[in-house]
Amino acid sequence: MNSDISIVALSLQTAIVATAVTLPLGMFFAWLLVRKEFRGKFALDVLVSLPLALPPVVIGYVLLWALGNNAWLGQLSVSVFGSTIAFTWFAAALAAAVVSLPLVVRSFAAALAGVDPKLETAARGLGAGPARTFFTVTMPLAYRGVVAGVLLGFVRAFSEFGATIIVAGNIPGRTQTVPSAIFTRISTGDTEAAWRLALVSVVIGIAALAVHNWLLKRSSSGQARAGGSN
Amino acid sequence: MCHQPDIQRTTSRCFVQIALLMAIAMLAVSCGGDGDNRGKTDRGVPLIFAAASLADVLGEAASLYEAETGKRVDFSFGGSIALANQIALFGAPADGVFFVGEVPAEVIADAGLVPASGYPNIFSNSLVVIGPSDAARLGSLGDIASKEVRFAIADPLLAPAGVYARQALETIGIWDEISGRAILMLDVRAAMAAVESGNVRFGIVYKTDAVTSDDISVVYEIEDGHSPISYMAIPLEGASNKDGAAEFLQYIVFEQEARNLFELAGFTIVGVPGQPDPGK
Repeated sequence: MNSDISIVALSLQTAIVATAVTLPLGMFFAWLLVRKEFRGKFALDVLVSLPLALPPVVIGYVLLWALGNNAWLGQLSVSVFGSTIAFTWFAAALAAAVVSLPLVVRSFAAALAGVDPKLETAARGLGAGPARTFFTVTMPLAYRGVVAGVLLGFVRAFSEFGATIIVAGNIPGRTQTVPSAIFTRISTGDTEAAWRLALVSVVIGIAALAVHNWLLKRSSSGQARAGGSN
Repeated sequence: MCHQPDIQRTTSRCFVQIALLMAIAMLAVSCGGDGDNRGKTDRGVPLIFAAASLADVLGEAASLYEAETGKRVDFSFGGSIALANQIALFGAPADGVFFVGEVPAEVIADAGLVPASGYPNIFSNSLVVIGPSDAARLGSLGDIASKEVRFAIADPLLAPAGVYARQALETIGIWDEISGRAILMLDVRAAMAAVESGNVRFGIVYKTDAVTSDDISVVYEIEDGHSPISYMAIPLEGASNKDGAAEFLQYIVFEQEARNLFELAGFTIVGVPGQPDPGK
């Protein structure tokens, strides 16, 4: 039971850090894709969505080669921190971030697309800079969709298994997340303990999706109202 | 109202606030969590990569070690070959290993991680055929072939238990005939779990695995036909906490109480070449 709690805590930690990575990054990509026209936009769209289309084990393998001790990034972290990033909980967080990024970008893009660009133009015309416009006009109008995207990214990060086990391993107390602990428990025939954590995953998944769907419903009805009064 | 400097200040304050919030969240997470056994103290706790067949007994030995010395040890259990490759190919941060079989030992030796003093073979084990708890005993190992059923072994590419099992079946000349019915699992414990769950009829596992489960029974003891099963404990050269790993592994090899745990679990103590017999 005690180890269950620390496994869930480690999973929450990885998922929160993954979300902290995907939130600004996802917002930046979504903004580029929705509001900007530029060369290579098509390629960026494909690249950002690629993790959706790849086997997670491939993402894990690519990350492992980038972060392992025989890559320059891995070497850099060895000389700075004294150890590689691979096989640490931070590697698990990075894997979760990469895998959840497409969902976050897509949710954010949908939220941004729901904001009338004319309102942003008006704010800019009244003298607000791009950042102020973003935080005082765009965000207040899009925040439900954004929060929904954050939730979706968070549960996807919490659920990540394939990439995580390759780049972070499955080390109890260090890199073992809820999905990898379930995997170990299934592999070793520890059925009851496996079901216990499976139940935790189901509860977290239902809770996050329920709030996610509620937020999206609210935001679309809010937009309908705003549209009606126009 | 909207002077240029004002806007600048508002937006930069907004950025600062968001950055602060994120920093606080990350700090709370990295300091909080279940801080007692992660983060800062990781440096001090040696990490041992160990064969799946050692999962129970090493856990007990680590409890004993912690009770006597106050020092913790972390483990990553799995197929020895898979774990050795994690270390040798990708720099997994193991401080020491406790592996079974020649292949994983060679993998880490080729990577230059074995101390010049070499490593002793300390424990041995044997293979058994397991079946459901009500299964009748087999007359010979060849009976597996006549049963026409699937059987589980560890994947020989990932775990030495699979290598030994395949050797034993090759020796009596039935591997080619029945290899198509072999269910290859990640490690020896996963092979046993496949039989425990009732999904596979037979399995070939270590004797020490079989005694840990009430849901299966030993239906045949494999006496020979495979190379000797040898376990070796090696602190890794150049590891950040080699000394901590060495101290724990020494404790297992030389401390009578720890050795008793292994004997109780069914391991055979082979002795330590080049050292006075620690049992005496």
